Amino acid sequence: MSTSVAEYVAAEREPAREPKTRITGLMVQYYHVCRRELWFMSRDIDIDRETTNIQRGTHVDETSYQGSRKSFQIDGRIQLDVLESGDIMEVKVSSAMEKPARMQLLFYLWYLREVHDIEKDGVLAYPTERRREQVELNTETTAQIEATVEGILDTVGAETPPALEKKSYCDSCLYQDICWM
Amino acid sequence: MPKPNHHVFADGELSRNEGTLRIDTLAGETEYLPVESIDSLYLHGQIDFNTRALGLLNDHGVPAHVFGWKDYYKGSYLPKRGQVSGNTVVEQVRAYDDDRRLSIAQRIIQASIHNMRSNLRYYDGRRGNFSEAIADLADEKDQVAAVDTINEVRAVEGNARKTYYRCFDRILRDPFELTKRQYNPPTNEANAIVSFLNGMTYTTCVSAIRKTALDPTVGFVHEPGERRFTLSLDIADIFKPILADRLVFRLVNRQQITVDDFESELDGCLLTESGRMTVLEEFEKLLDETVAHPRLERNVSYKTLVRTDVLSLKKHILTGEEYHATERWW
Amino acid sequence: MHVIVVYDVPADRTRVYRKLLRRRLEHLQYSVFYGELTEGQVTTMKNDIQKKLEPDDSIVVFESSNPAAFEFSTFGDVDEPGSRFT
Repeated sequence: MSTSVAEYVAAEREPAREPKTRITGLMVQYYHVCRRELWFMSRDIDIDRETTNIQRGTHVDETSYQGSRKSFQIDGRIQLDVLESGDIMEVKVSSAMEKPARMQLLFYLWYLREVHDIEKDGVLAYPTERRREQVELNTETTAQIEATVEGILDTVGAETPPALEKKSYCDSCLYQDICWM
Repeated sequence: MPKPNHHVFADGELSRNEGTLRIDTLAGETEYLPVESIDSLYLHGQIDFNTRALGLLNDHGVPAHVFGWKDYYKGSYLPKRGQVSGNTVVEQVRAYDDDRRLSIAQRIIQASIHNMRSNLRYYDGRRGNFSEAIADLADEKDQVAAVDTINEVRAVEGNARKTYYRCFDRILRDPFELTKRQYNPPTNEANAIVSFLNGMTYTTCVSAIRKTALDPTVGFVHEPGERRFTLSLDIADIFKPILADRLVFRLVNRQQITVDDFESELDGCLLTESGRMTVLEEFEKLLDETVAHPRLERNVSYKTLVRTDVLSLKKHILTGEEYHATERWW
Repeated sequence: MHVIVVYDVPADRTRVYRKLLRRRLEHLQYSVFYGELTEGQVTTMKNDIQKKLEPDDSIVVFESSNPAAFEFSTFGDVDEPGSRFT
């Protein structure tokens, strides 16, 4: 674990010591989608919330598997759904953004283990595709998520946003206008 | 496509009913306005409203621009921002206070002069020979980059505007003539229609700024303390040639507006109510017109151009990335 | 996109849908609403309708994302749909 990540974990473990950056699941996703988007989001640069995908996501998330899961808020920045089996579940509209979703779930598992000493496994669910995937922390995935946390701390801590870079999903990005103008 | 504006010309009462806006006109009609589908509300008639109606506008982030007698602009009711971004305002004030102010002002005025020049180039050969004025404006745009103070920026801008306004009489079909730009009150038909559309451009900018976290009262070219929202005045300088002047030329030259659409009162000259309606309908159509945007790689409406200009300024203030003040490219 | 919503619901339930629809659409005729909405607005509207739905309600949402493929004609005493003026 790098120094910055270790400091972050220590700060999160100590209730009186607020970490400089509060990492959320969404930030983990953004880090793997577009770091420039993450930077804008971390600065409260606002976006048009009427965009479709967000609305759709909210609806699928609200209405799938109701009854078989329970929602928990952890430390005011992490929203977890726990299945009856005890696994942590993350629901996604489609598998188009598979890696960001998996990293978000890994972050939850890692956060629970490092900050709250709770060991859990996870399930990534795609209700519209009727598909589920098991996710767990091992040496490889732990290294991945720690690199991610370090990257997020670096990105968000930078004075200026990462350079402009055309990506295939720029057209559907909420930050498109401010990013390219 | 951004949401449309709604203009209320009727006299009557504006209230909140079943979660949306209700208008009861003096003529005895009741209409409901879809509050979630309106960008900005323009009140041109004599309207009574209460705090519940204002609260609803507030909840849905709809600014209301209020006009009084003969459509003189009275002021705007700006809903408070949902996600207050204190950081943005702090940076905006810092930018006003440090050397960024000059460079932002220079960008704004360069874009303004560019857009004036672009209008003259469009009419060059069609309505006269404007090559001299076009060359002067090119020089003045260059001069803006070379000055060291805001006052000098404003002085160059003043010269450019004089050069530009001098061409209006030749562009405008007779008997419209600007002769001299006058307002409060406008003294002839051309001044009246230019004033009216400048006001509409200004309120369009007020609404666009409201949708960002920028503070409309902290401008860069104009001094804070002037009567109006100074940032809106700044952004309006960029867009007046595009949204106001070009439409004035079009409406007058195609005779959609004639001298019969004006009335003289006391020492001033103003559009009649039907004249204002014609102008506003065309202004709304213009806001919907689209152009291919080279940076965004999609078609955007003129109304969106105002919003993206303000977004670019906001990003410049927060990140130091270049501010792309809108210079007509199409 | 252009949206038309029509409903046929028991008398005591008209208020529920009228309230839900008037916030975003123009109340064109007795149980007919029209307007131009963003895709996001259409999605939330449908979600809202679904939440209010009871067995005897019937609602149809028409939508067209191609403005060129949308035309209308008016006859008699009607306001122009989509007018920005009152």
